[in-house]
Amino acid sequence: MRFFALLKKELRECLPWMATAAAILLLFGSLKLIDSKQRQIGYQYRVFERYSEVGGYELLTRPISDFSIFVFMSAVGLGLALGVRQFWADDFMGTWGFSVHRSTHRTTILAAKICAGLISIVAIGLVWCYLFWRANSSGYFVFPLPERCFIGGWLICGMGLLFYLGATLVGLSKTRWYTTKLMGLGFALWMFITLTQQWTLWWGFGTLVIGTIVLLFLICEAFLNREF
Amino acid sequence: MTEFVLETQGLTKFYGDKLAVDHIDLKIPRGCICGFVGRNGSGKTTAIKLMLGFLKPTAGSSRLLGCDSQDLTPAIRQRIGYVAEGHRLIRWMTIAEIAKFQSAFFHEQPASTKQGEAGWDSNFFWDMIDYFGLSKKQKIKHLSNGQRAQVSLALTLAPNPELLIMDDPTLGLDAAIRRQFLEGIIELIMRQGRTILFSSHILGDIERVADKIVVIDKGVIRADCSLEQFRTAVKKVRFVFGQTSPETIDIEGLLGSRRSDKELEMILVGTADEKIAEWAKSSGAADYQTINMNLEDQFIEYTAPAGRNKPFTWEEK
Repeated sequence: MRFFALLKKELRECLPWMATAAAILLLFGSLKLIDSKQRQIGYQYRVFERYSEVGGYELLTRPISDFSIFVFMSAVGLGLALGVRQFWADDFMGTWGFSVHRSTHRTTILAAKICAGLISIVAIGLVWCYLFWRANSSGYFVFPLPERCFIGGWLICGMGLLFYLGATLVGLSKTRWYTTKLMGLGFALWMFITLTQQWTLWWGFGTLVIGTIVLLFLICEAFLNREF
Repeated sequence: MTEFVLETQGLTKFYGDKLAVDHIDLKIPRGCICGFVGRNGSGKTTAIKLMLGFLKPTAGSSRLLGCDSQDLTPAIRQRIGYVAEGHRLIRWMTIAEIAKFQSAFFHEQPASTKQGEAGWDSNFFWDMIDYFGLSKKQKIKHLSNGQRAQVSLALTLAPNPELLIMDDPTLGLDAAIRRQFLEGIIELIMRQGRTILFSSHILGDIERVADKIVVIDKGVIRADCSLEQFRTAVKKVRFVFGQTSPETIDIEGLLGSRRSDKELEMILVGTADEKIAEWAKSSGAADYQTINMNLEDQFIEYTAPAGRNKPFTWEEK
C-alpha cells in the first residue's frame, strides 16, 4: 500500500519526461522507417548479416544504425532527466522533509523511485519493440531485421538505465563538484564505453548488469546514509 | 515519573568546521507545548532536523518517543507529525491527491474510534480544509503561502500525531492566517497527551500557546524553562542618577547595560527585586523603575549579541 502510493507518485513525476522521450523516439523512428522504405536499404542489413564475426561497437550499432541514435538519445536523455527530476528536484524545492518523513523504511522510498525510473526506461524499450515490429511487418525493409538488432536496441535502452543511475548517484552525493560528486556519471560513462567495446551481445549485457549492480549498491549506500 | 517524549543529550552538529548546534540537552515531557525560539541562523532548523533523524549528529544523541532519532521505525514516525519550514509540499498534486497520498501511510480511522487514537481521520482533514475555505481540486502550486500552510497543517493533524514538530510554521503568514493556524494547533492541544515543539520567530505566537520556552542562540541553549519563569526572570531596569552613572556595575544576573548621561538601563536575568533595590541604594541611584517588556522585547534583549547595545551611528568617510 505504502510502496504503491510512493510508486504512483514517482511514476506521475516521471510521466512527462517518459512521454516526451517516447514521443521523440516514436516520431524520429517512424520518419526513419518511411525513409528506409523509400531507399530500400534493408537489403544492406542482410549483407551485414553474413559478416557475423564483426564485433565491438559495430556489432551493437551497425544492425540498427538507422535507429540506434534515436534509441540512444531517448534512453540516455530520459535517464539523465529522471535522475535530475527524482533526486535533484527535492533538493531544489526543499521537499525532502515531506518525502522522507514517512511511516515507511527509507529503502521503500528509494525502491519506489528506482522502480519508477526503471519502468520509464522500459517504456522506451517498448517503443523500440513497436518500431522493430513495424519495421519487420510492414514491408519497410526488403529482408526482416535480424534478432540481434532487436536485442541491440534493448542494450542501448540499458545504457539509458546506466545514465539514470549515474545521474541519481550524482544527485544524492553531497560532495563538491570538483571532487567526487560527478563520480556517478563518470562511472556510467566508463561503463558505456566498456559496453561498446564488447564483442558479443551477451558480453554487452554482462557489462550492463555489472554496471547496474555497482551503481545500485552505491545509490543504496548514499541514500540510506544521506542527510536531508 | 515524568515521561519525556523528546530527549537530547549533548546533541552537536558541525557543518565542515562551522558549529551549528552545540551540546543541546533538552527534555520535553508528554503534554508539553514547547516554543523553540532563536534568531535567524541560531540552529533551530538544524536541531529539529537532528531530532527527526534527517541529519546525523557529530556528537550526542536524541530520542523521540523512546526511539533513537537515527533509527526511527515506521511505527514511530507514524506517531510524529512534522511541518517543515516553508510548507514544502508536492507542487503538482491537488489537495485531494496529496490527502490520498498522505493517508496511504496511516490506517483509516473508523468513525467510531475515540478521539486521541492514531490513524488517518479523513473527516477531520476535510473539515479543516472546508474551514480554511479551500477546495479539494486546487493544486498545491496554485496556493498562496498561507493556504499551503493550512494544507500542511491539516495533513499533519489529520493522523492525530502524538508528537508534533513544526519548524517555523507561521513564517511569512499574515496575522489572520496565523491566527487560524494557531487555532488548529490549539485544537490538537485540546486532545490529551499531545506534545508540541514548534520553532518560531513570532514571539506572540509562542506566548499564546506555549507553556515552555527554549531559547537557542548560536547553537547553544540559552534558556530552557517555563514561559512563566522566563517572563518573570528577564527584566529591564532603568536607574536614574543625580550625577553620572557608576563606571562599574556589580550586580548578580547582569546580562547587558546601556548608559546615557544620567541614566543606566540594565538587562537582568533572575535578579531578585531586593537585590535590585540594594544595588540602587549602594550605587547612589536617585530613582529606579522596572520597565515592562513583552516576550519579544525580553527575547531580543536576552539574545542581543555583545556590542549590539551601542547605538548605530553613521560615520561619513
